[in-house]
Amino acid sequence: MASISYQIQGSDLQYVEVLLPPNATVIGEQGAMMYMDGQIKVNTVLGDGSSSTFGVVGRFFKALKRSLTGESLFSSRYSNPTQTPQRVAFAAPSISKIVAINLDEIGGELICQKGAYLAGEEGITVKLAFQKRLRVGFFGGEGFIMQRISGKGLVFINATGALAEMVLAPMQNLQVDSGCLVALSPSVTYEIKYAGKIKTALFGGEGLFYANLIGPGKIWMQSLPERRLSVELMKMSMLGGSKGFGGKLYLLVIIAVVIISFLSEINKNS
Amino acid sequence: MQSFRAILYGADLPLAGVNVEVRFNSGFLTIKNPSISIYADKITMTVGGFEHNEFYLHWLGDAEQPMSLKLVGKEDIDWLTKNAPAPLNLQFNQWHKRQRSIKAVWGSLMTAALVCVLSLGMFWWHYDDVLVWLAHRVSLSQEEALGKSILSQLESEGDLIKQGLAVETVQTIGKQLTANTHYHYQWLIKNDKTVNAFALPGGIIVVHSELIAKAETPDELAAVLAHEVQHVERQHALKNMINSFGWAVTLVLVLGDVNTATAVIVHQLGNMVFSRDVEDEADRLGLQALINAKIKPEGMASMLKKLAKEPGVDLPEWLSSHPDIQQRIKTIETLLAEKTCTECKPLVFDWKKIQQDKLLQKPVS
Repeated sequence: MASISYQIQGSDLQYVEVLLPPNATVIGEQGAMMYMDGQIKVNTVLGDGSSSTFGVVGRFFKALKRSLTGESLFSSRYSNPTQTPQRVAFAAPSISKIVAINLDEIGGELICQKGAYLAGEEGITVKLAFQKRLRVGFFGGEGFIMQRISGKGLVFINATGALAEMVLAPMQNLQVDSGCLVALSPSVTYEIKYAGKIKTALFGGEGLFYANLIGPGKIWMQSLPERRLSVELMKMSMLGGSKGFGGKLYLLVIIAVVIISFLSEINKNS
Repeated sequence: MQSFRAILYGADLPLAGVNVEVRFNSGFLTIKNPSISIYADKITMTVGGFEHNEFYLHWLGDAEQPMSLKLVGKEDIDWLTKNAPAPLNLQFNQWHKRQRSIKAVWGSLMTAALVCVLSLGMFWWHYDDVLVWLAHRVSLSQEEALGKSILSQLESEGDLIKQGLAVETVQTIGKQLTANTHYHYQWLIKNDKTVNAFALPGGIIVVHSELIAKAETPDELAAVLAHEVQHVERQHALKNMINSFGWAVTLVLVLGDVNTATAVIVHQLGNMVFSRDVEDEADRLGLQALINAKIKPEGMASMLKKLAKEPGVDLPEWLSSHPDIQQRIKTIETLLAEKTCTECKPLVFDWKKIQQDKLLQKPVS
């Protein structure tokens, strides 16, 4: 089977166009497809379409576990039954960049943040990677549940903002702001490090903990975690677009009105 | 096993690492391809990987470039912990400690969760016992104060009768029924056109005037009193209050809405309705009290039959919190058949005269 080739298009809001050779199949997240050639056959499967020793029930539970990692219960298989290459394109669901990772190069396994998986070659499975250490789960910025993507071939993952990839040499140490970590190869040690000073934690704007990554292995980082983006957008929408003093005054007036009405409510009751 | 399998990582090696076979040779760690030989005391050992359950050996290579070795399987780790040379041995404890601490943390979390679930289950299972225990914590004077505060509300409505022949009769029968009690009973009649009687916490028992009018014999009145006395003795009203207070607290905690919770308490105070189990208990113990006081207990069944005929239950049976009266009559008749009381005698009063007590005839305000 000839391997698939791909092209990532767009600068900040990206999509990936995959060229499927004859008889090849690619599996995409539900709703990620942007366009495809007319000859491509689409088939919806439960989970990632892999079989289970427990039959349908087992497959359903596998799919359910997979859906806990931020993916949908079903996924779509795009296969090319013709003798000529066919195209199919997948778009990132939000303000995302797409990165293609060849699993063969990093040892057949990759751990990603929730919902990072976009599409991948057939046979690639997305499983739940549960963070067993409480500290890392609570303060690592990625929560307790991540995705363990394993198999052979290409996988496309997406993350918000600019994407940086970095190879860590053995024992090399990198501190990453929690939430900025997108993916890591499983040989990387993922720990939590206390920021060191209360002053830094309170006024440095970085939180109490850093994610501490120790090589060997490869890591991917995003410049703008979705949470930070949504906070920023929320702030803007609350201020009605104007970032000046007037906007903040407006917010103060709202807070004052709420407090006054609350106090009068208490007085009425007592 | 002389050697163990591992994956070698290094700056000039592929990113995914290289599968190698590792041996220990008189204190030296040796790998064939690529050819590496390093003395054991130059090696540091760490635990890492995503799950923090992988075993790494690190050292600096000839050109000071860092190298790492990841052990692949559990057998290999076991073999290494047993056969590694002394300088490395010391570091293994660290790994065991880490493994144990992860297990301990999750174990204790699970235990805590299990204890919570179990204690909730036990609480649910022994809910009645919890209520009894709580009710016993309330002192007699507190209970009486509670009853008096409700009574003062009733007094303000102004239909209470506190003296006269009828009240005296009720008192006489009541005293006969409450021979061994630590409650200070107070017997009252309320001018009301519904057939009813109720008990307040702390031993205040109120009989509606219509009940006396409808009762054919003093035995029937005694049966009702015996039933109400049990509500006091078993602290049913108090338990009801504790129960609704508990619900109110839960509501406040869950919904954060004080108004709803207050509404629940107020509803419960204004509406002394007992559950079916509680009514059954009062019936059963009331019957026993009648027998103990040597009063003919048949009045209980006949009075209930009269109540069943009364209109005024505006709700359908399944909606009203009043227990199914027919079922109660059946239960009492079975009990009466079981407990034949030969010594029991009908009460002797001039019943017609009592019923015609002038105070009872006052129009309802």
